[in-house]
Amino acid sequence: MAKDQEFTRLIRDNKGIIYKICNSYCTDKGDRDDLAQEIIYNLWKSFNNFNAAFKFSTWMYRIALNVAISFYRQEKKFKNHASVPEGLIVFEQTQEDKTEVEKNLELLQGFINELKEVDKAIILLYLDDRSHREIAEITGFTETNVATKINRIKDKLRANFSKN
Amino acid sequence: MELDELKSMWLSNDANLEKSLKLNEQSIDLIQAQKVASKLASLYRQRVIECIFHSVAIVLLVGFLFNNILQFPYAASSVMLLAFYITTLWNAIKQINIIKTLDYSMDLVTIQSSLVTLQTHVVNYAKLAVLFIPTFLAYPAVLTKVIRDCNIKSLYAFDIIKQSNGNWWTAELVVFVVLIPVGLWFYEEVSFKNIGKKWVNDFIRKSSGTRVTKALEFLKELQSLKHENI
Repeated sequence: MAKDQEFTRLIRDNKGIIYKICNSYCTDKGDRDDLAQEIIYNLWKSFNNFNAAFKFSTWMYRIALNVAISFYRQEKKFKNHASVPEGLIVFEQTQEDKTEVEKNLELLQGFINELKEVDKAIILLYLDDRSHREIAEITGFTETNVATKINRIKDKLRANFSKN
Repeated sequence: MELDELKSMWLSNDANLEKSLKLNEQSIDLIQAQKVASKLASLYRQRVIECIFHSVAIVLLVGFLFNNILQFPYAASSVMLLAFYITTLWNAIKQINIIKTLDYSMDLVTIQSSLVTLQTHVVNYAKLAVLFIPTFLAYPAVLTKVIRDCNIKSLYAFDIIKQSNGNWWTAELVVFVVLIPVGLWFYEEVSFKNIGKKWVNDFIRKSSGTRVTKALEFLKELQSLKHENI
């Protein structure tokens, strides 16, 4: 399979990761689109260096989170990819009424958006069922630090839920 | 609601998300075809220009030092200026090295710390400007000597050393002895580690802006998270 086709397939298989990161680091729809483009551009640029012996999703998380944190920290957003149309990854809601689960998840997403940049990264990885070891590899913290951070974020989120 | 319960919901929602998310594959093709100049490329060019500028200054000062090696006051003045340019050249080289080795697939702490270091380069100049205040007296000394050596008679009136009847060197020595320890202390203190101190925060914000201050606060947060003793 050609390199560009292989890349598209991997992005297709892991598009949920990009969607969740964009949703957590940007509240504005335009910014989310720009961030998704920025992430895919950086993934493509680094794709030659990807070692197939490692898990693609771990490699993808590292690049996507690094891009998202840098993007979030920029005061002025510079749109690099002017020729790419909007709506790179679109969420198509099929049902009108939201279930209780969806309402809770929406609430959780809102609380994640309020967290600090690094905390967002850690909780996204935790919710995605990554092990402490993998979270430590992606973030650069020790496993013990990761465990402590997760507990603190859990407490924060629990407090937010109890307020609502 | 417990987070573990939410985690199960989050994971079970992944299947729903997979069905509902539509990827615009044509846009991926467009991104793959693009040759966008990296934002870091312009930063890289700026640092290379800095390196060239500082290298030229170093070469000229070494030439001056070589010609005046036996005249201690002039030799000492040029050494002070050389120290300034070598430090700034070293900083610019370090920045170039960071840009060249920056790889987004490295861990978050490493990459974000490198990016903040690039973003806050301007603070180094502000710190060096204060550290090297005493050496600024060396500029007129070196320049007037150059004017005399080049025999530019029309600029002889600007010969500060002659007009001050030797007091220039005394003033330079006093300023140097008094201000260098203060400058060194200041250089060490103005760091992300002390961003919590009000005067350090004020100095960085006034000299380099709020964005740089926030970046350094973020760096401190990252480093304290990394080295947190639990």
